[in-house]
Amino acid sequence: MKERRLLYQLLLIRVATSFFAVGLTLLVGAVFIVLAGSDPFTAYYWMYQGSLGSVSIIVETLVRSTPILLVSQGLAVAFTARLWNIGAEGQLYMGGMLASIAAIMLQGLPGYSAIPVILLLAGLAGAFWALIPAVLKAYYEINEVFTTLMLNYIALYIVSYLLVGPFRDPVSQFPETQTVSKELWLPIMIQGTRLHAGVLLTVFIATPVVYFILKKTVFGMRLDILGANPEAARYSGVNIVKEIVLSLIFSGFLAGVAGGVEVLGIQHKMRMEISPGYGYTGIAVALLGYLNPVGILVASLFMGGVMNGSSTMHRMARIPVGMAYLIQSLAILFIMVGYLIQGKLTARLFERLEEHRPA
Amino acid sequence: MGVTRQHHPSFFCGEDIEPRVLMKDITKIYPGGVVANRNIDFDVGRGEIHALLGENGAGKTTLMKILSGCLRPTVGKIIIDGREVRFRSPKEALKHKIGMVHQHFTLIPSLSVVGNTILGLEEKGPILDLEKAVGEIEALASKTGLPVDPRASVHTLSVGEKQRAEILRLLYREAEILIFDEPTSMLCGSEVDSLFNTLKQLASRGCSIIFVTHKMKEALAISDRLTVLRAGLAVATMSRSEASEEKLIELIIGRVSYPLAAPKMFAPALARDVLVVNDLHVKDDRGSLAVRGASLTVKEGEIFGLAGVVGNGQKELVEAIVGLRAPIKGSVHLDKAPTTGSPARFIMAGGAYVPADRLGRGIALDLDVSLNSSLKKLREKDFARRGLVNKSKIVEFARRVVKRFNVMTPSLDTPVKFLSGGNIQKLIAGREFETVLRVLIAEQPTAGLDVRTTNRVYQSLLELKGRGVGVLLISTDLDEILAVSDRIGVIYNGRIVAVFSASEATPQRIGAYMLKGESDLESR
Amino acid sequence: MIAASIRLVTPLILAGVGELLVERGGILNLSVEGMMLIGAFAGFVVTYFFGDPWLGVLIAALSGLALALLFGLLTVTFSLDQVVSGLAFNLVAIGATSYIYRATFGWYVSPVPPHVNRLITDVRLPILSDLPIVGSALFTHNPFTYLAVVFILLSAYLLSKTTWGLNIRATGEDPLIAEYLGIGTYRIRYVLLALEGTLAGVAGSLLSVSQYNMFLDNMTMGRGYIVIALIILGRWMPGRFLAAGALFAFIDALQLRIQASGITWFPHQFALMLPYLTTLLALLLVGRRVKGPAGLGKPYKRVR
Repeated sequence: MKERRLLYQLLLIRVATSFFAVGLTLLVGAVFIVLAGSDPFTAYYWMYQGSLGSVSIIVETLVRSTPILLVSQGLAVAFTARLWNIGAEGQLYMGGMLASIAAIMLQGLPGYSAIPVILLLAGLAGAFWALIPAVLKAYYEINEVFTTLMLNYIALYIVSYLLVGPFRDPVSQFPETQTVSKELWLPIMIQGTRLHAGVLLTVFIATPVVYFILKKTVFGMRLDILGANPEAARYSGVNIVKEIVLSLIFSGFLAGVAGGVEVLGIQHKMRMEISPGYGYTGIAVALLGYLNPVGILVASLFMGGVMNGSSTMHRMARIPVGMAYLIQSLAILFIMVGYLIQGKLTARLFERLEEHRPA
Repeated sequence: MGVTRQHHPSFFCGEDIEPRVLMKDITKIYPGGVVANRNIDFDVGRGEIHALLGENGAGKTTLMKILSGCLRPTVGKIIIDGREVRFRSPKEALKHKIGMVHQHFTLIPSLSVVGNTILGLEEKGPILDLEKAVGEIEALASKTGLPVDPRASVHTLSVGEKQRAEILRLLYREAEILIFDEPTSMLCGSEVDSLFNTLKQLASRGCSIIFVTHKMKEALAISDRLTVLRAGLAVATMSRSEASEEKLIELIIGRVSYPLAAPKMFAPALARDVLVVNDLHVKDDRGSLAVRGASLTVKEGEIFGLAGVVGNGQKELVEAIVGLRAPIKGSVHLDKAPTTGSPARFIMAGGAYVPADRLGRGIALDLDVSLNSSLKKLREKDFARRGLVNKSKIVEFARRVVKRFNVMTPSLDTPVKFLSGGNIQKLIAGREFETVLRVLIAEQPTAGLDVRTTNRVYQSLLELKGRGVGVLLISTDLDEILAVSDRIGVIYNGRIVAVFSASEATPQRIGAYMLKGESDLESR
Repeated sequence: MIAASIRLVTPLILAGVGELLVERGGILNLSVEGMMLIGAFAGFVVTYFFGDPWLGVLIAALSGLALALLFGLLTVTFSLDQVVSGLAFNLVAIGATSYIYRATFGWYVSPVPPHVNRLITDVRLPILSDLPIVGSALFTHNPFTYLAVVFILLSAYLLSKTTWGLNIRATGEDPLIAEYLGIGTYRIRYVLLALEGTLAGVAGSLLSVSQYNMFLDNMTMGRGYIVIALIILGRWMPGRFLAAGALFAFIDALQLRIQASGITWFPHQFALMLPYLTTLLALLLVGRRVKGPAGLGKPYKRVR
């Protein structure tokens, strides 16, 4: 059927431009590697080895990708409605903080009952943190870019204060909380790796849920309309306030859960270093995946792979660890180019279709 | 409409004078293959008012865009005052003293008249001398009889004043060949008369005026010569004395055929009130009261036409009825259900709305045709059960919408932004007609549509009447309102000042209410 | 403390003037943050290796300019979404500067970060700075502060009293009509962006080479975004923007004072938070439903 073919063609354009963007990124990354005095082929070889070299390494890549994936799935929902939630980082921190506090308070309770509660609380913390900008935007039309960003810094400072003050681990000399008790750690699914339950939660529950929401529910369609033309949304009876608030707090919720997952699954305590910018990487990944949950899954694996591989790259080819972030940033830049090309190709596609149509 | 024929002393003497503007053998083919103009010859003399007639899509606007520098012809030449010219931009055309007054004004609302007038003039030095310009504009305004306050911000002006500002801008730049594109579409009654006076004045001072319109009566009233375009060809050029309505109709072919049957009410005595608007007070964007206690009712199976000069509160009234703007006082009931201030409730109670601002409001450009068609159906049970979307239902409905007014689209998944403007209008109109259950609010529903689709719209309106749907028709085209409505109301200064039945309504009475809020023709 | 406020606010005003003009021209440029950061980095690196802070500032200006032109390419010529582009640039700026910083100075940031010794020094205005009380506070500053004030005055004059200003405003309100009247909207936007890039680069370099003497990751800490918020609060008018900036600078100076004064009961994190909190509150109180130039943020593509 003609319509099917059209959809495939559109998909092809998207995938092709994504690959193009990634390719360009690696290319420019290679330039930077050369600048750092190394050989790009060796460097990339080790990056590949470090991210996909063996099963256990692939698992580790998966583990690294998890927080990014979780955050960006949430952002996809907000971004679909063109609500730019820059505050995922702050929401993540609030989530992680509350998770560690809850974990300490719920000490002694069995894991299977306490862990879901803790994660839920973490999510709620993130959702709450996103609620303020959401309300400001919904009722007062205050641009969410600034409000979420300001709250980012505020969140970081609040957490920093809490970590040296009231919730500091009395035993440690670093600003961090007590270690969470073992029963409350996210259970490891495959022995010998760091693959914790949170990874499965993210990949097998969160991703399909977001996909379902965006593609199959009326809520998702309303977000689509809101993002494309807010006036048309109002005119067709969409409750704009409700949509804005719900989508923003949903993205905050997932970011908060990401914080909680990192606390319970990886760090086992709350520290300032819990996130190397996952909130911001999430933005990049959401855009790279064209706001499609499946694309985001792939994109976050890519980012996770880059992060994982870069430490190997560092050990073996003496490339600075910062390379990972550079590659991530370059990827974002080249997505923009990708969007451009995608737009042009799509327009050309429809132009050609229009010409062939009988008048 | 009270357009009277007048004879005016004409500067224009006839064909023995060298034409000022000569367009020879103009052909324009758009990329994609559409031939908009085909071998057209067109000329205008000094001091002549030349009407360019034809239905929507005949090629008038294209031809004038070529003359005014917005487009370049594929083939053909333009000769001004005996010299061949080639324009690459409207600015260059202006250097040859050609300027166009557009149907939708090209003034920037937040700037002042004087700001708009001197915008883009190269001769002005880096420093703005507004005072001097103000003086110059005032002098020009009084000389040509176009009173406008140069210091006023454009968004505060009435439609007539905006048009005057636009004309003044051209005159300020010493334009002598003026093209007017459907200038009366937003005017009424005496505003049209004053425009015509201005045109005659300008012609008598030696300006060449080209008057693009699809309204024959106006063309016959004002012009020295008329040219008819049809399907891209210039089918005839004649002087006013040679022209008559019948001849012109024959040439233009495809007159809008208003439904001939006398509009009958749907079981009038039993017809319920299906839309009740009670004492609405609505504020506009700037905070002043635009609607001051407007009330009206629409019965089922009737078409209620609302006439009024643009700017008397129609926009805010419609927005309040549909729910997009909350009134500070008053209520709206649809079939006894209160819907004030909520578009969702308006839709659920069975209301539909064809907005005048179609692209801004009625459609989401980046989304595809099927989603846009079902924009308002998402609440319904078949389309969305328990929050889940039923894709096949959407597609089926979209097909119906597309078929209603024959929208040309490669597929239902095409993003709407790739459709042509006319097709987008058709899509929106089709969607509203398909989804209406009790009341349809139609704002300028036939604007921008070609003749065939316009007729289909009128047919559909009749269908709706038969189904018992009430229609509130807001239009600046008084002919349309008179031909189609069962009852006609006039809005003036935010109030409904008069309501007539179709039999009582005459253009004079309505015109009086539109302009003055009262009529001395009333015997009461 | 007034002196401190003025010193702190200079980069904001400098970058803000550029952004204000660009926004009046219709482009919402979120990448000010990135331009400032790259300026800070470039200025620092050049000063470190060549010893001359003025050279640093110059290179910083040029790098800001380059970035702005690139941004212009994406948003003006290619009409891409301005918000997304701006965010992307900022993320790239953070990544690139952190990377190159480590590449240049060592992969591990030592406890004592590299610093420069020569900074942009203050200039005493003759006569004026000898005034009692206010003299040294107001009139002994680095030359860029004076430059910033001059720019504010210039831009106010530009917008309201010159034809260029009229053209800029028209471009920001409705580029379609402006283009129709023969105004080169693309050219105006590029020129304004170039100006903004240069100023933002300089502003950023002031952070690393005047206020402090080192470079830190993400040194700008959201200041670019704050600039845009201040513009909104100032309703896109230069004078009001200056006032908003002054208020913000006061809070910022206050916050530093609190930290320095050694008050122990008030956690220093809360002090650091103050600028952001204030901006948030200000937006809440004053920034409701404000609309800028009608065409702000909307992609515009010439049709021919």
